[in-house]
Amino acid sequence: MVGAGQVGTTILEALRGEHEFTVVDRDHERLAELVQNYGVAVVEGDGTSRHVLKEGGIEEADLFISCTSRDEANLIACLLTRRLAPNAKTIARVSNEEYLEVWRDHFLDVDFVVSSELEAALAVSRIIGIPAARQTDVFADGQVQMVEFEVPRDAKPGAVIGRRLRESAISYDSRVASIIRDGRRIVPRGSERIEPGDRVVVIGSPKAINLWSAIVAGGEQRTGDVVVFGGGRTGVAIARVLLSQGCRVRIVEADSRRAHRIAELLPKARVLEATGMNPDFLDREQIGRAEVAVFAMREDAKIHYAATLAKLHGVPFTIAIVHDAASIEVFEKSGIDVALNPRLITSEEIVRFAHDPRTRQVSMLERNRFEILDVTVREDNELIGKPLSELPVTGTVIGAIIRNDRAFFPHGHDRLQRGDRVIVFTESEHAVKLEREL
Amino acid sequence: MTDTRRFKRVVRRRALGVSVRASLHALGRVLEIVSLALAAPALVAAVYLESPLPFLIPLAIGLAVGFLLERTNRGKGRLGTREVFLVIVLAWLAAALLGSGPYLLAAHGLKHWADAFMESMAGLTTTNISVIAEPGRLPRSLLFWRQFSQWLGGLGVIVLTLALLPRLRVGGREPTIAEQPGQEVERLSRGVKVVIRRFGLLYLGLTIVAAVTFIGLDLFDIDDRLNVFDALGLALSTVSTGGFSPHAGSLADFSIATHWVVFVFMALAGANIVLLFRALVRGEARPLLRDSETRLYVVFAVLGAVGIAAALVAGDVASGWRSIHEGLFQAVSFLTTTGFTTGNISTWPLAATAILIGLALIGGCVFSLSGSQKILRVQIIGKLLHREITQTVHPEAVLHIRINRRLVDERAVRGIISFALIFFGLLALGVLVLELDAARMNFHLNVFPALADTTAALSNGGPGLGFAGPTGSFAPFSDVSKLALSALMLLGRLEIIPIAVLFSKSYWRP
Repeated sequence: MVGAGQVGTTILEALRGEHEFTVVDRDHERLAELVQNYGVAVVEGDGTSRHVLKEGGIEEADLFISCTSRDEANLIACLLTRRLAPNAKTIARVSNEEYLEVWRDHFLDVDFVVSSELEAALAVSRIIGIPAARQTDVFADGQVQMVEFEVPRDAKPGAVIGRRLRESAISYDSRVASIIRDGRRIVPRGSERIEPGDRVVVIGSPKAINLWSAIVAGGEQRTGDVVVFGGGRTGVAIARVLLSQGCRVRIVEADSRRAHRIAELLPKARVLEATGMNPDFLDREQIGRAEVAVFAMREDAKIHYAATLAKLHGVPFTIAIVHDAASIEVFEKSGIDVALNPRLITSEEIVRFAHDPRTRQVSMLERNRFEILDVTVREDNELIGKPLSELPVTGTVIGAIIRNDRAFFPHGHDRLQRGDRVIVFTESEHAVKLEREL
Repeated sequence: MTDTRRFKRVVRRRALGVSVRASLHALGRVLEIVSLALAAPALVAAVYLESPLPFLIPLAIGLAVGFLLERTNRGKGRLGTREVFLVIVLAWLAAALLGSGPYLLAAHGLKHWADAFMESMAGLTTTNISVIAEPGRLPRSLLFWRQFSQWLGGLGVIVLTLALLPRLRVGGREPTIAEQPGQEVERLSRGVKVVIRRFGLLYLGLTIVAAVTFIGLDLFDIDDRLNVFDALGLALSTVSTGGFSPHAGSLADFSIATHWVVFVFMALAGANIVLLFRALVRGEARPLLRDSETRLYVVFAVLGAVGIAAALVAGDVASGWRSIHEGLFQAVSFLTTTGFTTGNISTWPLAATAILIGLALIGGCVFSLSGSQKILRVQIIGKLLHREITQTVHPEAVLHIRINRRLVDERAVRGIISFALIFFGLLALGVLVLELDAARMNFHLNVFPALADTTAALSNGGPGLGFAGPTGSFAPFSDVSKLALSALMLLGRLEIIPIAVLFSKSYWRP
């Protein structure tokens, strides 16, 4: 592993039971600390240097993680490793979302790339969610969304509600994974209907989910009024994800040039050139009317002050993107609703991939009665090539398939292919069996 | 010679920031080309057995002066951005002077120099302002020159708007295209050649298609008032948004079929020629169809047509299909600053003519052949006003102006505001001059026709109202008014700033 900062340490802590680590870092003190706390082997030097990597025994490695704060260093280290140890799985941490895009387009020969900014943004969007939704989750870098809707008891029958599923006007880019009526689960066959008072689990593209939310919530349009304080990379990533979900987003950035740059990047957002510490400004722009305020500034202390001020002005829900691992507790103790640490989220994501590259993300529903898995299908699976309609009906629903890093939402005639990643909805008791079968 | 004197001499020689001699050299070349263009009407004169001398004499003078200027100033100074301003203005003036020669020399031409100069200036600025009420009485060759000068002016406009003005950053041109740093270094002549090769050829092609269509109308007896000469003449003044007609009373003589053909080519000439090139030559229609300015162009035309039709119906001038036809044709004719008319708009209700003046003050698309302010500028000013209002409510908001989703540079926005201010300032000044001059000459000129006449000149549209309307001419105006109108035509055609620059001290200083 290259990088012994916060992310590195968290990963080390989680994985040292399964792997034998050698840590490379330029900072002597950090390494000394690691040796003291975990007793791992260390090499002092630059991870982008071939000699340093060789010194760390790269040739024998099965897993290579580069998680310094420098994107380019991480990528170069991974690319070097690809040559030095062709069999090792490589993981790079990046901040710049553009590298992520490049990786998704297969320009970078790295096994897994995580962007802290995007992870933070997805985490925020998971929390903020969608109107009428009880729970939401995002998969495949935001391409797939899972939402559990609660259909209001007084909902009027329409194009979807009260109709047979096969006849209803459901967006092609979404699938009903399950209907839950009076605590009982109903397998969503074409003949079933969604009725008022039901809970529905839907998997689909963000756009389709927005349509669903409009249908289920009735005429009640989503308000989704979010203010993002701080227009750094994280702030912009959050704004972008929320905008794509149809939220109204305002970004507050004090630096004039940066503010103009953001206004250029995100034409749909309203950019305000101001600081979040100014009560007059908060008053004038009626920030207190916003439903959620997200704080993604550079300093934790400033975030804390601005978040508290926003609370005072009446923002009901505040999310802080903090930098120091220790801050989380402080923030949540002092009335900020959620504190997220992008580094921790990133390390969790890396750990998940390192742990089992096939299963990337698991999400629980209905007090753990159901699970949603994100699994890569085994190369030699006998289900490959069969149309989905011929698979045995077990109540397990394949909600989405990610093929070549693009998500689509399969229908009965679609078939699984080698290398597919699937987003599956299943009952928790079958989860382990399912994972084995896939 | 003492050192002090030598110092003073050297310093005085460098006192000008503009190389006048390099400009004169370039002017000489332009003059040669314009003179050669006079060979065309001379040829027509030969065909109709008229005297070619009215064309050959200016041709010889122009060639001689041009050659002299080029010869004596060869290799003197560098032709840079600053010199281009001077060349543009001098070239248009010289061409207008040269072009006025045939009017004065031809039999049954014009007697007075101011008349000839204004007629020539109107032609070369593609304006439908004329002192000739009965063009049919002119010799054929002179009539051809009158039509052809508009086409030449149109070609000049293409070079001006596509090759020269963007380089001079005049009046917020090209605000949506990011500045290309390489352009500065690239040689001027190359830019001009590329523009002529692409858009000049498209212009020529459109003219040929228009001429063939008109000839077709003649051959198939769809319009019996149209002959081959008229067909050619109409094509030349339609595609250039000039608006001169070979017949008296503009297009009133011709049939409805001819009107619609004119309508189509006017509309094309008022569209962005760069996007038109991509659509017609490269087969990419999408950029043209998705262009917000083009859409607004259609919206303005339709709104104008509806407004005019309503005014005509209310004023009992026309009804039903006729009012729609008149409304649409006249709206597009004024919006593209062509200035053809199918009836006498002087007798129309005030509301209808007011709409026409309003449309002429907007103009066609940017990079088109039409004059006036252009829709893009109006669009950006509209967005600017909207932004100011939003900014009042949200003082901290960072608001950008976008056209076709692309950012508009703030400097371009400033340029556009100043352009619009000068434009309307000149309009007011023009009306004032016409009125003062009328008072001096003791004849009564209503403010509304004066506004219409000034708009006609400044927007390079036309015609005027009242005695200067479609059936009349600008002849009754005094020399002072005629020169003022000529100046307005030139200012409007060159987008004001290049001329205004010449009157600033900083332009002449190093």
